[in-house]
Amino acid sequence: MVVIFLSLTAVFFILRMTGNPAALFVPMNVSQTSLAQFAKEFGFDRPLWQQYLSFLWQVLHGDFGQSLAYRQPAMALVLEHLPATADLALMSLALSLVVAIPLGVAAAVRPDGPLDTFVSFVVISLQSMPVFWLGLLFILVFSVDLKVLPPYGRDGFASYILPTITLSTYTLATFLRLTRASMQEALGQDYVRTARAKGAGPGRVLVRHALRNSLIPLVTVVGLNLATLLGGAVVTETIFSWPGVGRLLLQAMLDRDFTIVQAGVFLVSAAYSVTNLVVDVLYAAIDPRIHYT
Amino acid sequence: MVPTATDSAQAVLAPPSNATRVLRRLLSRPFAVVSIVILVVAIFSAVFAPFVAPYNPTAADFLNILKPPLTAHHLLGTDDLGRDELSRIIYGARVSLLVGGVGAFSALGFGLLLGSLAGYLGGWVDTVVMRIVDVQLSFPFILLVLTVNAVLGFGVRNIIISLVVAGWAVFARLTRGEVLKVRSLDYVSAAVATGASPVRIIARHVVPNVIGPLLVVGTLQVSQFMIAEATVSYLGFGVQPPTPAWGNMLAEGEQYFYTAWWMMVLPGVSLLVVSLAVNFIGDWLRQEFARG
Repeated sequence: MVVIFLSLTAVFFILRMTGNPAALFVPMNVSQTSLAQFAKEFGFDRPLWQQYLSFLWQVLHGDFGQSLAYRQPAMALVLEHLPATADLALMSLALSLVVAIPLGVAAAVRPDGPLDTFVSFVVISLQSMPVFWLGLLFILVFSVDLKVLPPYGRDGFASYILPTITLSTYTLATFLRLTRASMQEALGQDYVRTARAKGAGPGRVLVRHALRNSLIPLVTVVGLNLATLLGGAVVTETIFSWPGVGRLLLQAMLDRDFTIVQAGVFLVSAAYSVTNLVVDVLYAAIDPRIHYT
Repeated sequence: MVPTATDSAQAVLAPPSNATRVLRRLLSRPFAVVSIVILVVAIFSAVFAPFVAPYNPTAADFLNILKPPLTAHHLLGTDDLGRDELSRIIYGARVSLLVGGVGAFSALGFGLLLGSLAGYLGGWVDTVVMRIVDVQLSFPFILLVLTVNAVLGFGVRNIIISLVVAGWAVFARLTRGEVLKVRSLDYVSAAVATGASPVRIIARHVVPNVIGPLLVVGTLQVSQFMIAEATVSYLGFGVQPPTPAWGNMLAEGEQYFYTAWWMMVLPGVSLLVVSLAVNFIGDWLRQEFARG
């Protein structure tokens, strides 16, 4: 809660630090009267603290004002673009997990084996990779040279492929590293040895015992990485012209459309807080050792 | 001079210095060595760019536009205005290395300062600083950089400031943890009892302990900052053309990816290679510090 409030306040003041919003937003050669009219309409002519207080009051009522550029309610506009980002983010998250978990587990099972080395290599490559460039390369190879996948837009299943792969690379390295590390740790624990001694087959030991335990920290990290995904979404959506919140926010920042930026920041903060709350609850549900009394 | 018994005795009794040991370990790790070489070459070319680069990076040559790599006189080809790619990449390295290096280490310094203050002074200072850290760390890094940069405007200096503002939090959190650990140690209590000032305590006890992890995270942040600057410049903020920077070169190159793929591929490869080098070095540092 505090986090959301602080983010909102920070954005409010930072945005207005650039100068009189009316002057910034309106085209250069407009008359003084029109400028004054515009300012009056959006309340930019009142003292700053007054603007801030009325802003807070409006937010509490769910009103984020009108978008300066589109003349529509800002929050409604942001929410309209949300499904595009949400499904891209969810698919990327799923892809990331689907690749990271088996690879991480397999690498942990044979430490220093060829797969382990390969995973280390992948992790460090991804961490050094400018993802937007990777996305551009994908477009170059798959859309331009091979002509098999659409380069932009969101229509049809094929258009999801490249953006999803691109966005998933943001979180892939972290998940890979974490899965491998926590799996390695789990495999060294006593309960694994006990299970083997009891005669459980290696597959059962692996999945039923070690894996379940090593998945727990992963759940927390997934929540924390939502911020990374959203940040990555801004870039990915711009490259692939994906009609999502990220691209909307970026455009709003370039256009100095404050109300949208404010609404967007609020949404990001709120989404983050909610996700982490869910993650905390999930964590308590999965791990029987934790009690939130 | 004839070698005497005392000479050889001394050679046996004097163990290899720490520096020698570190160097020997380093040489046994090829990736780290190659990375250091690459980084040195990059820094050298960046610093001495006017002497190393074959052409002026902003000199347009309309008779030679869009030439592919390995053409005569242009090793890496030319761009849409006939400017030499190799020169532009070398000058671009200046921007990236400057932004990454200065940015990451400023963020480190700033975070070290605030983290020490928070951990040592405790109370409301601690609460306030940590709340800000929490908010910052919960926010997508790129969005933070973009927002601050939107306020400050374009240019290398402003992008460095934006990166520092967005990136100091992780160092602060690390430092504060370390300060809290050290604060309760006996020899620190002794130092306080004998009247050592907080500054002295922080400098002599906290900093040596925390410098290791900070440096490791710092090197990772160098590559993160370089990539963030390129991303931000690509998106339209940050460093603007005609100043050659890998980010805006990629943006310019995007329009030509049909006809001149090298405009888009080469700056990206440079960025990737330098980031990889920095990250391998960070990895080596991490292993060195983990030895305790």
